[in-house]
Amino acid sequence: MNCEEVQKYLSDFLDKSLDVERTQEIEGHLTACSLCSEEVASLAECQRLVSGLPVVEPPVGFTNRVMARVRETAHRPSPWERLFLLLRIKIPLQATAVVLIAVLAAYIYQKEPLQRESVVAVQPESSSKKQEGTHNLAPSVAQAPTAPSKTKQVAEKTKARVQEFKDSAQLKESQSSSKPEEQHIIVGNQLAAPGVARSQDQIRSPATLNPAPLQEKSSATSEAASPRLEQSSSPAQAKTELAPGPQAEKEASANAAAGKPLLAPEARGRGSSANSSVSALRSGAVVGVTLPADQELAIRLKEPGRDDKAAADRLASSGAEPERRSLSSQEEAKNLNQARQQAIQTGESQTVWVTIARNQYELFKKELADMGNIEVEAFTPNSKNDAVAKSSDRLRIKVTILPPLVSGKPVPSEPSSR
Amino acid sequence: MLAEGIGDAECVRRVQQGDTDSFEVLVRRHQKAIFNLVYRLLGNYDEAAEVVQEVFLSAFKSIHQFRGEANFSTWLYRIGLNHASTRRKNLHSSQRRHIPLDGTEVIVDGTADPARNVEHKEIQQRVQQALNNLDPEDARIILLRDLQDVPYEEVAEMLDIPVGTVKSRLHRARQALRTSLAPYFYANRKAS
Repeated sequence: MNCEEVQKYLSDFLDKSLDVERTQEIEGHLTACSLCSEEVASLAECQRLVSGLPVVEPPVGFTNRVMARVRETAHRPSPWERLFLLLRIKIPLQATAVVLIAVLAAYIYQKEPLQRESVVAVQPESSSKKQEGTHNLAPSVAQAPTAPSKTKQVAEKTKARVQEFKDSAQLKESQSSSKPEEQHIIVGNQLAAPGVARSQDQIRSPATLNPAPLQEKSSATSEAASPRLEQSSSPAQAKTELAPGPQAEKEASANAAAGKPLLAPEARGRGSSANSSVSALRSGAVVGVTLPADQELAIRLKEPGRDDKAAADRLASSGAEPERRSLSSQEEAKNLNQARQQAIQTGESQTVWVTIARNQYELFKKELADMGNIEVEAFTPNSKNDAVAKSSDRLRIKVTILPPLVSGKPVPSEPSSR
Repeated sequence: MLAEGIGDAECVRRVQQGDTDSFEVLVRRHQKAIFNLVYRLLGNYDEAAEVVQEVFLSAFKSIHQFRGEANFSTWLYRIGLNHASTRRKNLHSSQRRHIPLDGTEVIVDGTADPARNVEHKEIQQRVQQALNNLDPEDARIILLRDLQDVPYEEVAEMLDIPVGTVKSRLHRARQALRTSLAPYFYANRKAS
């Protein structure tokens, strides 16, 4: 074996990974060759020096530091996961926002018809005009601004809304403490302020849809009208004058063209319902409607005998009244009886607004049935949708007292709405 | 509860199933060997500590890719060698191929004689300097074989080269180291 061959196997010789035969050959050569022997010695020294390098200990707490970073990595989401995590949070937020906005919009939209009516109906009036009574309705309509500015509308809308809630809260108080000069308004609408009531009366009065007959009627009835009750024309007249039809539509269009305030579309739609009695009531045959009632009732009084009439007269003159347990206010009970007497005496329909506890409704109906036949009983569509009205424990009822049918005299009877 | 007695393969399986604590067993078991290899490759204690942290972090992140075909230690050494080589290149380029000697190393097997200790330390520094000046490939193969006593087959697997190539490269690397340490040998011979 020469030096070149020995050089090839020197590393293996140092690692002792050669077979015995080759190891002996190399050892033989090394004893003879000082150059190769020196080479092996230096390489072995290098190997010894490297393997003799001291073992170095990692820094104190190295494992904990490594594991802290490992745990941090384990719990930290990757960039993709972080992106989707953001989306996961964002999507529900956006969805929630959209749903909330939609619900709010739906709620506002449902409330809007009422507010539109209020905006159209509310007109500014001086306090002196409030005392003029119902016979000046038509001139008030004429004086009403034809095209109210937007700012005014907003202000009036706010005023009407505030007044509505205020009056709801103070309903009982206002019933008991109303002054005599304001009573006609309270009778006409228990929940509206005098100004509001007047304005809405004007809008819903026949003058709006058919002004001419009302003007005639208003002058005719101004003397007969009680200060606490608002009279309408006789049922027949009301029907012929105010039943919704092409003429009324035409006149409504004419009024619109003249810039006069019209009923809101919903209000007009209500006027063209199937039931003619309710239509007559809703389309303005009965003066004094402001806010929609929860319930509308029309009662046809029983035909009074001579004794009954005399008894009624006696009752009126003495001031004594039959007990009405369903009504919480004595004022309302009094109004109801007065309206009954006037309907009997004048032969004209009378409208009375009462507010009763919701659970007293059946009792109230029973008491009315003693007076005559309930011909119309209807819930107003608005009140069905009105969450506020539904949640209230009180019912606003518009009672129309129709005069009794006199035998031998043909009076058109109105079909029942039911 | 750390299961120190269980093998690397089982620890890896647990880590792959989400048991982060099992990784601590692997860290404790291999940190010293990896740290020493990296330290000798870099010649700087602090750099080595930082790199070894990164090595274990990389291993944890990519442990789902470990199929178990090789030993976990082989796989971990390969990651360590790659990180150390990258850092060594950066250090060389920033320090103009001169890595200063680190005086922070801990001598485990020191002798009682202070003079002997100083001499030992000087020799160690010379060897480290020689390793720092070696080609990274040569330094890696010498350290794996002579310092860590890793079998040829595993060295071949770590460096992804045949065993025969490992042997020839090792011989070349030792010769390079001997050349680098020639002044020491000359002085030694002269002294003796």
